[in-house]
Amino acid sequence: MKLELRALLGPWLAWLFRVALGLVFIVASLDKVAHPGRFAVSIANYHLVPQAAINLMAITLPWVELLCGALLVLGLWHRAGLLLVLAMLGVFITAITIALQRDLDISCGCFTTDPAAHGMTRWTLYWDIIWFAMGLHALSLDRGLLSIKRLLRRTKR
Amino acid sequence: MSARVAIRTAVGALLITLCGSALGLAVNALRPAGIPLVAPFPYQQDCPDKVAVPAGPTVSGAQARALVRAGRALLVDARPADAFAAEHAPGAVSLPFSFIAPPAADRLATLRGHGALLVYDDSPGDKLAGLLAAQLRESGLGDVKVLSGGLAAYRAAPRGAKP
Repeated sequence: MKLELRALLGPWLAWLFRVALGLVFIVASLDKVAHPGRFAVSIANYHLVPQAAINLMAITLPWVELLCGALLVLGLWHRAGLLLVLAMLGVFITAITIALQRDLDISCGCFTTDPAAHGMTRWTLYWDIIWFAMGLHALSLDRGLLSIKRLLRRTKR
Repeated sequence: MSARVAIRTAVGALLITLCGSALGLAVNALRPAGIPLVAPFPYQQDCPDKVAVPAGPTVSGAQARALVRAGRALLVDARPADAFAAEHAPGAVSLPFSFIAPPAADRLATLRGHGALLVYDDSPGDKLAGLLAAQLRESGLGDVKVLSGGLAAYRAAPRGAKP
């Protein structure tokens, strides 16, 4: 029983967190992929990124998010994907914390680039911290359960 | 995690970043609505609701209708292209306002020689129209006015109005 609980809290929970994070990143990227111009405005609203880098970031970041999300869901290069997701979440947490400290009345641009979307609140930050913790758990305990890589290996056998 | 696994993970993360970035750049280059790699002018707003619309001359719906009828003005629609496609004032040209990219030089050239440019939208306070009008004035087009009250005011104006 103890062993089952450990397995449940270990690799299987890590798998669940990995897939959940993958789905979050896929969903978060879709609107930004479709509207890079509006995402550029969202980035500019933070007043943290140099003018010359805003558009480049708006063009590339959503695709990195999408690729990471897909790799996490499929279980391909999942460690690298999780590391990248943690790095991105670290940047987002820092940016949101600074924006909240500055009392900026902006939407976070996390899931939608619509300027009329709800403004950023402390819960925006808390969610990112929760996802960061999920990512850390998955990175340390995920054994690649239900991954394409494992399925391919089984098929070969 | 062994050093070898750590290095492999870091290299993998770098490769994903490069692949994702390359994909984004390629799609942006191929899509018609792609944005420039570097914004051509500084972003000026904290958020769209806080943008200050530069002051400029305005015309009423009736004045606009009379000027257009007399062939002394061209209506410019500042709303997004899909809104223009759904409905627009007769004879108006579409020039959606964008914070990211001001109108291209060849597009501006087509607006010359039509008399006054009367810019309209359908947002409260004619915000988009005001911003586009300022952009057009900065681009060297002289006689640019905002149609006060936007598309609704133009529609509501009597057809026989005098300037």
